[in-house]
Amino acid sequence: MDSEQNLPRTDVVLISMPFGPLPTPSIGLGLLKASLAPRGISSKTLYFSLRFAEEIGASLYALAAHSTATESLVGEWIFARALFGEAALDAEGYVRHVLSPPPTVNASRPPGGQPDHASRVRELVAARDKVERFLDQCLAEVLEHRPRIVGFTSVFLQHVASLALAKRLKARAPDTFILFGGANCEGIMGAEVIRQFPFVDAVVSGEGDLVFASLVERTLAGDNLSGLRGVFTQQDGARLFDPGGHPHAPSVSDMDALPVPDYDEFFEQWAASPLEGACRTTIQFETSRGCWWGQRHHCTFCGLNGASMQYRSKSAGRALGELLELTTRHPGRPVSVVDNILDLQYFKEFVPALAARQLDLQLFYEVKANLKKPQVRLLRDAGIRVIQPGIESFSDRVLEIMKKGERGLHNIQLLKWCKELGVDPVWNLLWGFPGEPPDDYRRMADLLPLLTHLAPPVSAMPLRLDRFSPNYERAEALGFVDVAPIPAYRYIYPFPRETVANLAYYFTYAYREPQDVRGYTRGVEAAVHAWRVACGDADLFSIDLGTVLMICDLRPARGDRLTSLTGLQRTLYAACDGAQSVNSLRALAADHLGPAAAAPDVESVLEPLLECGVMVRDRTSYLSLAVPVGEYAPSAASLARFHALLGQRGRQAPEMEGQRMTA
Amino acid sequence: MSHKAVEDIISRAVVDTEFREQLFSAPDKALAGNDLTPEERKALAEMSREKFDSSLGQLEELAVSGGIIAVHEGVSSPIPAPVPRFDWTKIGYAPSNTN
Repeated sequence: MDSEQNLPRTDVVLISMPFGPLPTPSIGLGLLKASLAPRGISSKTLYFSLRFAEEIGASLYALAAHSTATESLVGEWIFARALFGEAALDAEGYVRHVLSPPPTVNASRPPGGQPDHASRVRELVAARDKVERFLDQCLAEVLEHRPRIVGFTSVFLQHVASLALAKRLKARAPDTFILFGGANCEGIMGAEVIRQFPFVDAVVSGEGDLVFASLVERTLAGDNLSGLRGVFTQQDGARLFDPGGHPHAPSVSDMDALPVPDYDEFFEQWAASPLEGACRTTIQFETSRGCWWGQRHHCTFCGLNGASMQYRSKSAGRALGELLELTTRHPGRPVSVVDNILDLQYFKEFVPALAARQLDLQLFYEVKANLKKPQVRLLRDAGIRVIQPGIESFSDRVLEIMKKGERGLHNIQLLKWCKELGVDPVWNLLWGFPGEPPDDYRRMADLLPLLTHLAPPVSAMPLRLDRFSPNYERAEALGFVDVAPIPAYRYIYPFPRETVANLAYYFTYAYREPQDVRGYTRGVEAAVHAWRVACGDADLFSIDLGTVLMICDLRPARGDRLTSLTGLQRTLYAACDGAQSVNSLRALAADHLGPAAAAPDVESVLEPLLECGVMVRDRTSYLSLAVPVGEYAPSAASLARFHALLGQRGRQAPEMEGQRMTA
Repeated sequence: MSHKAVEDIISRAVVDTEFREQLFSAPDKALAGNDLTPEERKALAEMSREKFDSSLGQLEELAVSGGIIAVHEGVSSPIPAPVPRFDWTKIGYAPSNTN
């Protein structure tokens, strides 16, 4: 008996490979680990993602793992040679055609690309040379645990690295049962993994929570896995490609029945890593699955919720208890809520309970953009200081095409309230929908300079076709043709086109009716870039002096200036803190002026405010753009500029009583 | 829309404390001779002293004492700044880029 065989065996080793998210534990692995402990099944979670980040540096790792790398799939390509061998791949072609051209998916870059793009490309290419040694080390460490089952989580860009290690593991320890799960394994993608990679024993498609423990128990007992819905095995063979042959595992219906994820091993490994201090770790926390909006109207671009759109959420009490447990166990860390959309019912109990407890937490939530102002305030008070609202556009027509169920004016309204109430919105601007009106983008290019005092989009980019989205599933009906995997895939997987298409999640497309997207969105892209440059210094705020509303405009497009409003204009402007219809403004004006006055022409009253850019309107409603000072505090820099404006005007004012001032 | 006179008067009230006192204690006298509409005159005469003092009243004093400049250079605000927050866009990974 050799020394390795004397070591205790670990039933299950769970692995997160590069380029999985770096500074946060995997909620999938945390949940699976927690589900095994009560059954007396031993497990170990290994974050090799950390180890590779140590090898190549946290900043290069972040670049390869970032969501914008979905265009180049560079994280996958770095490991492709280790999976398929040098000869099978056209590395030169990849570098020339995919990696070297500046990415097109983010308008935040300056025109011409990042200045250090070429050197970053060289670093990414060089990262491949560290892969073999890294995989050897990973293999040795896994084998130390003598696992009977090794499970890989594969989300975003960690598929190829996982396969490369799995291949080595099977070659070295053929009795080890290799299991894959995660978003990259859903449906046909998982079926193709089974067909192409014989060293993978099983794949779980969809939510693994309800089948994982049974799968592990049966495997440990040497039983077969037949009858486990959503679990694909090598024995399934060609049946997986029959109609209905690759079903999802059953979805969790009782969210309260899920265990609290176990993140201890991540934080132990993080604490032992030289990366500690390089960036701040976060905790992943889940309160719901599915999307309540998508159940009614599936946003056409959204490929999330492949397994189940059905919305399910934890009870408020359970959610609060779990949050307290996680943040007590891992204190001082921001909490990233992984939900696709915040449950509106949570405004009744969960969010107020969080606010009442004053826990000093920092939470991130994805939300629908139709929040009311009191709801934004409640989020702030609860410590939900960063949100990802589904804004996507300011064009009503484009929002309608994507079935967003919102209006552009409401999206601006939310950004304004976020600024006022101290909630940071992380949002995206998307374009390129079939049939979208080019004129709307010209109007948007004129609108954006008026919004530079608000948070700019983190990404501004052409539409991406994601698997499971209506745009992909019903491509032809929605106006797309020539749907194909993005070019990077063919440099990563040396397989026939159909196979690559089954493994892919991101797709390119053409339009059935040609449209010059690049041409008509150029102005918007330039305006977004200018916005990002300007946003640190730009401000637009109003000060309520009772009978006078003073507006200080510090946006670059308008030049620093003051505007004061009195009477009906002041009343209407203040009322348009939230979008107001012309009809409601007419009623308000009638109240303001009294029954004896003639009905005012509200649109004429507000026209000068549109002209000077402190208001915007759509076909039916008006919205004021200035952020009221009160809960919002302008920065010291803004106050200094405001004071300079006041001083300039005040010192020019007549010193002597009786001197007339001209308007 | 031109409320230049209103803006000038408010601006002067910020930088000229004597004028400010007169504006709130004897508005008719302070506003005499200015080119104001009746509505503007009424608005200025009825302006809230409390709101003025709380939002604009301290600006000049802060500037004279170097307060605004000091806090400006120190990148902080005389009004309590919000709690510094974690920048989720810098974690190198976004949970999703669409929703």
